[in-house]
Amino acid sequence: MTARKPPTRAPRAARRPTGSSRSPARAAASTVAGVQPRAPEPRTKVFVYGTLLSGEPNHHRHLASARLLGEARTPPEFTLYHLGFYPGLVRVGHHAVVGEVYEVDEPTLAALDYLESHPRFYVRTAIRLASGDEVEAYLLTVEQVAGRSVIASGNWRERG
Amino acid sequence: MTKTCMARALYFAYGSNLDREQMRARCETAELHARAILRGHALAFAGHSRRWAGPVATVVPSRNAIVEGLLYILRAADLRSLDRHEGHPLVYRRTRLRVTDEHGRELRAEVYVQRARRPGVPSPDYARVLRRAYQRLGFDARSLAASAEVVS
Repeated sequence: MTARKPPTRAPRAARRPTGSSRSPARAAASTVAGVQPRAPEPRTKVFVYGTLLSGEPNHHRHLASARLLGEARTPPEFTLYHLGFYPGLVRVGHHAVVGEVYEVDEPTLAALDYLESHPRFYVRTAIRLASGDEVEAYLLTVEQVAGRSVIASGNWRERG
Repeated sequence: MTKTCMARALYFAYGSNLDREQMRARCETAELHARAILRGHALAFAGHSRRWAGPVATVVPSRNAIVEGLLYILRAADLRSLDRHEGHPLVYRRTRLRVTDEHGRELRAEVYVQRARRPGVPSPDYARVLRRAYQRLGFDARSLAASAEVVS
């Protein structure tokens, strides 16, 4: 048997004094010595209306583990356009667009931004739903949907 | 991957699958989504097809080059049919690459890439099918010429 070398560095957990944190908010939240309460992770409410809806092709990969807050609709101030494989939501018009609201963590939001090519294609924007809730939604501009057909039902699942 | 996820897939067609009749024969329910480009790749011809009596199209990594194509929405049965026709995974290998559709959106799509890399000159029949498709779609036919020059 070979002699064990003494550790040259303290284990990772022991290097930082108990109760300290890089984040002042987290440090302030520490109430019990030796217990590091986890600060609530930032969550974002996202309104989805196309391929991210449950049962649609991008749902499983991106939102299968996200919390569904429920079905929702926009006020009748939007238009849903058919762009082939996916729709585009524009904040101009008089349709109430149907979708679902999910609560997502930061990595999921970053993955959604990547999927939607935000901000180069869709732009993630805060909108107010018919319920009054403010959520994030991926919008297109009127110029981007010029000449495209409108989904009058406002419901991607009923696009025909 | 779940059944739900595979219910529809995006497929980037290039080469002879730009031909409407061939595509319809291979994928009955395929739905055209949009024109698209595959960046960082160039069209090339390699391998050997008995049907076309010569090398057939593939895409090879090439900085600053693009390949023009069409994006189709495929059902699972269409994708299985294409796998058979393309000889996946032995002749062509199906992989997912990021393409940009005509709306400017980047999407991940199924792309078939030949395993054979040795370049060759396509048969006149095959070249004719591609030229006709490029003309019909308004694609830049110079890329065909460039591919041919590379391999001739």
